[in-house]
Amino acid sequence: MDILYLLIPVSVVIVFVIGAIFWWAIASGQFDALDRESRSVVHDEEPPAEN
Amino acid sequence: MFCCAGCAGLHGLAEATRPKPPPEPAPAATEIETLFDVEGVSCAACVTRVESALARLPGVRESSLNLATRRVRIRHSSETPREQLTAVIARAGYRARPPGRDPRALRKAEERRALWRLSLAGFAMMQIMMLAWPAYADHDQSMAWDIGRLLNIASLVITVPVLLFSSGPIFRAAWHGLAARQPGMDVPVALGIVVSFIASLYGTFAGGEVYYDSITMFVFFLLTGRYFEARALSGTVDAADSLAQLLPRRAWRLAGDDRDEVDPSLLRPGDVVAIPAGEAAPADATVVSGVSEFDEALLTGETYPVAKAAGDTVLAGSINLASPVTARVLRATGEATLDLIRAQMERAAGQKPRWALLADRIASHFVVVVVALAALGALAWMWIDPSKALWVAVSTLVVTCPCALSLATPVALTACVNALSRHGIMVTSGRAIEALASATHLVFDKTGTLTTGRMHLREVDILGPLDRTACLSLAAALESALSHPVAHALVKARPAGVAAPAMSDIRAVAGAGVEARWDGGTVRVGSAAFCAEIAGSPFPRPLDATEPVAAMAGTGQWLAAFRFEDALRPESQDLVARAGRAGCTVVLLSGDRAAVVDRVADELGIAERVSGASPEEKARYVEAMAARGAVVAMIGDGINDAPVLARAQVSIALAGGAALAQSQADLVVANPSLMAIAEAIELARKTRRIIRQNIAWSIVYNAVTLPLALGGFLTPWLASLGMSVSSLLVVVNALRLLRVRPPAPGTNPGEIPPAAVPGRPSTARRPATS
Repeated sequence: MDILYLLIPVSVVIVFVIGAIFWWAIASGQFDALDRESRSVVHDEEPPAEN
Repeated sequence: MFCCAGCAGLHGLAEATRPKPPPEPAPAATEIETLFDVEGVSCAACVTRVESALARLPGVRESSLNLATRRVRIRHSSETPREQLTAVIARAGYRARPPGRDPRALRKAEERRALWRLSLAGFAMMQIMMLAWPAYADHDQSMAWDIGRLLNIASLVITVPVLLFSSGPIFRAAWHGLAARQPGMDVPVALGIVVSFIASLYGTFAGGEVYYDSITMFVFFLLTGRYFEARALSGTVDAADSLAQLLPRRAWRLAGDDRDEVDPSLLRPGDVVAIPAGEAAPADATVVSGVSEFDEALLTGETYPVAKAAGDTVLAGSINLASPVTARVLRATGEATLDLIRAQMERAAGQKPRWALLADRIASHFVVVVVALAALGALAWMWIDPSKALWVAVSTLVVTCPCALSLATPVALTACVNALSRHGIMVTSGRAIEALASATHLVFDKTGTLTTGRMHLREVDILGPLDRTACLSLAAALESALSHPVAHALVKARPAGVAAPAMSDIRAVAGAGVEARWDGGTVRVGSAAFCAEIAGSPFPRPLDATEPVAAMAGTGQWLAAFRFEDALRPESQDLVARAGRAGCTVVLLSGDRAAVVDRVADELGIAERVSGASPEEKARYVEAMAARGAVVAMIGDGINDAPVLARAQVSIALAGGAALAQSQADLVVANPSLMAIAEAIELARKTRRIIRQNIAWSIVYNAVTLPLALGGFLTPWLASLGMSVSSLLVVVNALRLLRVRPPAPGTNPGEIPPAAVPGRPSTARRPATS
């Protein structure tokens, strides 16, 4: 069971890494308009630049 | 006045502690209105805090913050600088920004942050559940002591970011609340988190229970509730924003032969613009050339395209459906009808009726009571079962929900204002909805409101040898070239299936009638005197001045007399019936002659009617009704009947097109159908019902959960879930007002269904940020 002394800290580190990736995803606007891509099909023009 | 913003803020604080000096008369200073978007407002306590901070500032007359739009409206003396206002709001713990033309960017950033806080709490919650699991499963105490300690420390490490990021706003709001001595609901929540965290820290390092899983789960539920609440709220605000999106992003300005693409905000009055088919008008403008149809649905609620020709006004944001036109700009953008409507909607949403003020007052005292109860509960449980004391205190702090109480009214009102605007009704005063909901009498101040104003052939009186069909076809043929209202009525009455009689030399005589050569003689339609010239004898019927009459005569003989009446609007009957069903008595208070008033009232089944009333008599009549306890909703055209409208508890103005922004009435109906008034009454009643439901719910919820929490039946996570669901329920209940209902049958009798309207171009309708 000694491996737990390593694995628990490692899991905490991984939690932080995943958290950081998630933060990046939100900050870069990935969750802003979830239906944009599905809608873009029916638009006949280029969609306006996202601000 | 002050050397810096800080001094201004300090001065504001000092003002709070000493009695306010009587306002100095300053004739030079005029009162102005300033709007700010306030960041960080999460709850009703925030509203009270901002408002009372502003109220303490000298020069501020009135301020009102709308929780739904997060926009504060401040009426203050022009001597109070804006910087001072922002400084005071900043000291209260919020950031004020000048309202952008597009508040979406601000909201988007806030939404991203909220999502991040929420998902961080959710993610951490799942991890800590796994780390906490061994302790729950360890029934035989076989887990090594140091493994347990390691798991607890790992949980602590994951909980810290949740406390720092996810619950940061809760702590901040609680702190500002305490500093301003107006604790909001964040105070008990923050207290609950801090108490359980300190207990867990002690457990981690000195041995004992840890509650990290409960803390993160609690924060997660709380933020989930707030997130959905904010999403729902922004749904109600979006309706107002969708108006702004109607404006095209470019305009075609014509200068000589050149056609420049310019930003609509650069257009000045007098500029000539081209409006291609399928595009929206960039500004309020008068058509110079071209004929087309415009879709004004989002401005007036009119579902059918409106024909526009040279001289007609097109409104900014209405969509050109048919063919290109050129138009001269009337007003710069920013002053366009569209912007005024938005401004009025925002103003209305910012005004609070009595219901909301009461709820705000209760909510601010509520928190103090809750904290005291939690402390008492904890003390009591120390005697009964010390291991539960902490839980009881935390659950009590968390479960109570003053938010539901203070959200109950503003959310419903905002939703109602937006729902009304979809029916083409602009609400210019927040108190109007309250009054309309309790209206007992619906008073029309002229018969013209109930009629179309168009003549309608009532009777054909045959005076000569020709029969009815022949007379009508002859009259229709004569009048077909004219645009007089009587001519329209005669042309409309043309019998079907009869060939138009051949005639020549049609000649109109201004103010008299029209004549033509027909069948070897002359035939005339027009006034009795004009026709008598060729008939050779005086008009054989008595002339009654109360109704328009047109005579028709041939050479040496009278042919017919046509009597007309002002046609009733097709929906008037429905309106009276629906108002009756809603418990409103319809009254016709008219200055018209008794004959006309009686005819209209009889036809519509209006029992209470007054004819020949002067404006003063009308005002007295309305006052007398109010004295009898009636709540009067007065309907007029809003322009020349202002004194009468002002006597009524609610004034409703019927105004078409560009005139709607100038009206002073509480509600302005831009929808050409009178049924909009019935809709407004029904919506106002529904709003009142929903507000009552919301308030009742929040009272019942708190009354039930508080004893449960004090009795130790609620764990903190359950309490947090309950509170979140309670707030959410209130918001969702209000959103029912926005549900689109299919128009009631008979709303627009005889008109084409919307599906038959020529397809509107898809490009014009697309939301700008999709």
